[in-house]
Amino acid sequence: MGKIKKVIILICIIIPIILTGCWDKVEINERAFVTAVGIDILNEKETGEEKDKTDKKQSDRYLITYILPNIEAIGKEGQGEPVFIVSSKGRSPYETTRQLTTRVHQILFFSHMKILVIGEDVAKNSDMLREILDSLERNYAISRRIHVLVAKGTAKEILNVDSQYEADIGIYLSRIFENAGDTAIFNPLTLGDLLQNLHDEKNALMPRVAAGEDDVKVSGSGVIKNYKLIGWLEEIENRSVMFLKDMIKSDLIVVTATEDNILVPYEVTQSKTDKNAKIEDGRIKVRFMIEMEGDLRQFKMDRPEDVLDDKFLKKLESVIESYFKTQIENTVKKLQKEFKVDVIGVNEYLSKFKPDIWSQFKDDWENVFPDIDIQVEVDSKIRRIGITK
Amino acid sequence: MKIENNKISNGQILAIIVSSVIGVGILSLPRSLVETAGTDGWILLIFSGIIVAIIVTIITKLTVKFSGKTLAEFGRDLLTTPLSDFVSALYFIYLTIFAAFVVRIFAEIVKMFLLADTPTEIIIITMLLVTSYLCRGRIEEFGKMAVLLLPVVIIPILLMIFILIPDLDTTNILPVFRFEIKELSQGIINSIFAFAGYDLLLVFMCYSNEPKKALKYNLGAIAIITVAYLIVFFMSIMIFGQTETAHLIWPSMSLTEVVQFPGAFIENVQGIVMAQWSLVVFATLAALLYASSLVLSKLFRGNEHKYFVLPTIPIVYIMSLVPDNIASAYDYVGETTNYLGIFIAVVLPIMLFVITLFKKGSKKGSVKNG
Repeated sequence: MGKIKKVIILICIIIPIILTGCWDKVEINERAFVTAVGIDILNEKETGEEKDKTDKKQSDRYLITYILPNIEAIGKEGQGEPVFIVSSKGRSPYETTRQLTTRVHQILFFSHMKILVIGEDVAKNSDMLREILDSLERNYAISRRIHVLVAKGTAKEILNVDSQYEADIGIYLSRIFENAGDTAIFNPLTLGDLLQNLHDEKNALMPRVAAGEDDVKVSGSGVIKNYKLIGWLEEIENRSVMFLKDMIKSDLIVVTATEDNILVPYEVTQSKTDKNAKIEDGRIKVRFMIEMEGDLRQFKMDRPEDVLDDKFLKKLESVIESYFKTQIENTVKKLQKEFKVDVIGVNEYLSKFKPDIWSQFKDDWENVFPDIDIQVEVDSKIRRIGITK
Repeated sequence: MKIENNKISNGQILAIIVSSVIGVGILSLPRSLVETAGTDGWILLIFSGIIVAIIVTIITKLTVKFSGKTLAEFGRDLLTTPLSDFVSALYFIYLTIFAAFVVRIFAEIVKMFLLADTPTEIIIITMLLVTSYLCRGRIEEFGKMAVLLLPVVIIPILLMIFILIPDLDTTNILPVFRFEIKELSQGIINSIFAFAGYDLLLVFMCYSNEPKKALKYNLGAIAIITVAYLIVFFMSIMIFGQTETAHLIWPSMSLTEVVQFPGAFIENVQGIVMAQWSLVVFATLAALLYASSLVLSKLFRGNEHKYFVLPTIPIVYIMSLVPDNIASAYDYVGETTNYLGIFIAVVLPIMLFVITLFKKGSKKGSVKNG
């Protein structure tokens, strides 16, 4: 008798332990994996409601767009739209997301999010940009590897692009970033890099994205100064910055050579930038020394010049050097005089390698930077010319 | 090697010390080092490692002299019974506060990263009950468990280097040697408490089967811990940079967000890391709970510590729920270590050691007289 009783008690204890599941379980078909998010300022005219002007802080400010892939449409016999595009409005980014639970039948999950697009107007508002970045940093589910872009126009426009290549714009954009090694016309920045830049110096370069008919283009970058978008760098300027920051994997420089302006594409396969700084007459003097090597990719048929001639190649190299040097100097001038913002890493270099100089100037760097003397030296080598003369 | 009953080898003691020191402290360590010494935090770490090694040498010498006895017993010989019992009571309080802090931070992190809807109380109580099962066993099992858990503690830290190598920015540790001696001396006291848990030697050394050979194992434990801490510090500062490391509450945990395996087959490794880290906390908590119930049993002159494990659980449980949030939990434990911790882990061993030197002299004298 006693034994049977014991067994019954044991079973009574074991059954509730085994049969109760996990407290926090969410089945995979109840989850909606957000792949991309776009944040815009809510345009008050669109809402069509009379706003109480005295209570401006409390009115809805954000319009956030989410891309949710339709799990049922994946696979061979999938049906329906491949992605859902949902928009929601609210006073803060987190609140806006929470309000979406009243409209979407699944639970939103952000751990597979790839892309965040910030609208131009939002980026120009430093309060909103700081709110957004803090909510991203505080949320453990959002990976530091997501890419943050700033849109030319609104973020909603970008996310609404019906791309011909890939139905999910989040995946589409993240693939573009994966292949970023071939070009330097945009800065393949992740959220982690962005947060690090902003915490260190309050400035950053965010990649810019523009919507096309049925695709998007990521090129150039938005200049963030004191958590605020103050202007754009175009493709060439962005490339110059990437060379100065020594972040080049590969890029193409097209120069015009010889008397009758033949276009010569020169593909940079390797590049290294050394920096040097000293004080001369109370003024900081920084030297950037760029050493690059690469291949000649195209010339022109039936030309008198012999490409397999060292003298000609040396001439070509000097053309590339002077052309490229001017490009970089123009960019530096724009950053120093127009934007007055150090995104080329001079502050980082000084604080790491010249702490004595840095300690003198660090408190007033914003005002010191526009007047420092920046010199650029370019040394280019043509290593390969293909298989014809 | 045959080990007699109720004894464990020095290697097992090493495993116990390493797995009990490396626990929740390692998560916030890079932040506190950067806050006090900037990029030179690693110098601070090495200095405090050396100081801890000196104290550990003192503790080992002390316990060799009174082999087979814990702090609660040999303290009576050195300090007179009432004073020694008071010190043992303080040590018990210190251990339970520490255990409460460990389990609370564990619960908060698990709740944040894994189990959002599970109440904190449930996480704490299940963890404490599982731990108490191990603690009610004999020391032999405890030692074997610590040896089993040691690779779980150490290997992921080493693995982290290989996974993170492509993302490291080695220039982030520059500039070096830019600290002031005054700041350094203030920071050292704080970073010694990253090693809190080495004081458990005062208790666990009584189980050593060869106390005379223990010193090199104990110093080895401190060396392993220092190296593990250095790795975590360098990884954090090379990934996040100085400012960002100071900004993150648990930089070591945030490192897992950066990890990316090629092919994107595994995207978010937090789940795996949390599972591993639960075992690390289990080892820490078990050592603290075992030591505190042992101290309690010696305080009441009991022979079996296992009857004192379950009564300790509610004390730890209630103490762990006192802080309102993690900020106040860190404040409470900060105050505890500043006063009680410095007494237990630094002053007490040195004081006892000095007293033994005097006692030794008087004993010799008495022998001569007799």
